[in-house]
Amino acid sequence: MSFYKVIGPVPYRNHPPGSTFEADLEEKAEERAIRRKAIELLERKPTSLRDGSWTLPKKEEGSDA
Amino acid sequence: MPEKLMLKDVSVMVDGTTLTESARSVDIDTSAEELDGTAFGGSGWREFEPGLKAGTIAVEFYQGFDSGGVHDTLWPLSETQDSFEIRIGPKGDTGASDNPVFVGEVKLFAYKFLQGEVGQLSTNPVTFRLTGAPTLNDT
Repeated sequence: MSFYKVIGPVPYRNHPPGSTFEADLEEKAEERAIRRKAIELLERKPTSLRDGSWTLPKKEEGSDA
Repeated sequence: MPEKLMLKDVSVMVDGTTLTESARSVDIDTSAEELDGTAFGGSGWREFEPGLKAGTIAVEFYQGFDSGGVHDTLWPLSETQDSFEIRIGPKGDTGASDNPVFVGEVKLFAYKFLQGEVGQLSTNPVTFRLTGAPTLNDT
């Protein structure tokens, strides 16, 4: 997920000019939009798991795994 | 009384960029080929079966070279031959049961850099071809 700002004079994916939005754009679509100055990338959020949001699978009884 | 739609607020979004105010006509055709399956015993009538489907989306734009405009958006797509998303809504881009927004992955084929005659607005009739099955966003 990344944050973008619409810097072009027309809406981008229904986000009005000047607005910011969060999206997971396909790599090539992002590249084209940035190249034609429709949007600019503000922040790239690396995909990660938040602490405490996951657990390891429980070991079943009698299983060696 | 059934709806009789007059086109007024058709929305056109190409690769994320709204080009609604530059478009003046649309034509979305998703016809199947007609395969002739006529055999004996048809009482003199031909019988057809639908074959492969293809999608052609023709949009006529007013040509413009401003930032975020028709040329700025379409020319790179014409050059790279990338596939990209097109969205066309009969009554705006907000999908609803009475406004199914046509969404498809397309490639750009016909593109006219400049055409027209003296004193007339220059238009750019563009043809997109679907690369797979489209969807209708009606929620």
